[in-house]
Amino acid sequence: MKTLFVIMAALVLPVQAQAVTPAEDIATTIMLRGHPCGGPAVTQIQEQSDSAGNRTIRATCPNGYRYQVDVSSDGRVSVKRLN
Amino acid sequence: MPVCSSAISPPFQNSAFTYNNAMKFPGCSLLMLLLLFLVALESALAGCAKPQEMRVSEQHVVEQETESTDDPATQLADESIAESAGESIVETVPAVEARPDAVKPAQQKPVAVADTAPAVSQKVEARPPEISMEQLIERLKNTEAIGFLTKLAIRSDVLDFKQSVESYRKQGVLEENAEMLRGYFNGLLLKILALLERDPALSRDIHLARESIWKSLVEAKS
Repeated sequence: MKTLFVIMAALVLPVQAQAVTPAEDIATTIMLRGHPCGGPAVTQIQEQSDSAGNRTIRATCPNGYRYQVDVSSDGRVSVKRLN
Repeated sequence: MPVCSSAISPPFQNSAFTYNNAMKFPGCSLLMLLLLFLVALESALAGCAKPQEMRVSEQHVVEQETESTDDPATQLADESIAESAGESIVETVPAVEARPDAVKPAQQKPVAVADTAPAVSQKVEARPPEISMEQLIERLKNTEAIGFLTKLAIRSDVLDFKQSVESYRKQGVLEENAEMLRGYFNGLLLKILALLERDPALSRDIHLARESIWKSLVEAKS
């Protein structure tokens, strides 16, 4: 019966990891830096980048807080709250 | 074949009930049929296959015992088996197969060898596999369970951790702060494992390799 349950689980459950959307990615990054977000995905995403390779992403969390995510050219990530 | 027929019959006793349910819910009919087939297959295998395997392996053991007294090479092999009798099967079986004379009975009965070989391979596979750091880093880079920004944030945290380890090492106070660093490392690892919820295989491998990851981060580089 153990083999049977394994076969049934393999048929029913998805095997591959599902890709993360950009809204989920930004929300996860905000929460990883210790800020409250209130949900798994952000809205109203605005993205800018300068000539030096630095990226600035602004997004609104489900709890109403708006954050700015700065990604430097060497890959460092920092988050600050705007409102 | 009475054993087989009695083993197969119970899952189909309620076949009318399952058929009616399948008609009510057409989406589940294929799954129900597959389930019934698998139950029947499982019970048939459990009822028929195991007694035959046991009989063949018993015959193989009896024949080996009778022939081993005549041949000196097999007597040596038997002595080596007797010496390592308290150890695992993994070490005893290659001692028999290493000597060509000892393999003779196994060559005459290929079915018996096929029965014993899976048992040996299962014993070998029971050991935890070696996981290299390069493979883990590559899998972490390529996984779709974590987004690009989140990966960058984790990378920043790991670089900060390595910088703090280096600064403590230069000051000569690494041993004093090892407990605090281990706590920070455990928190970082917990974050990564939580983020890898959609990639359980990678999460399990990182959890298994946590001690080697800790050593690679903290040990002094020559």
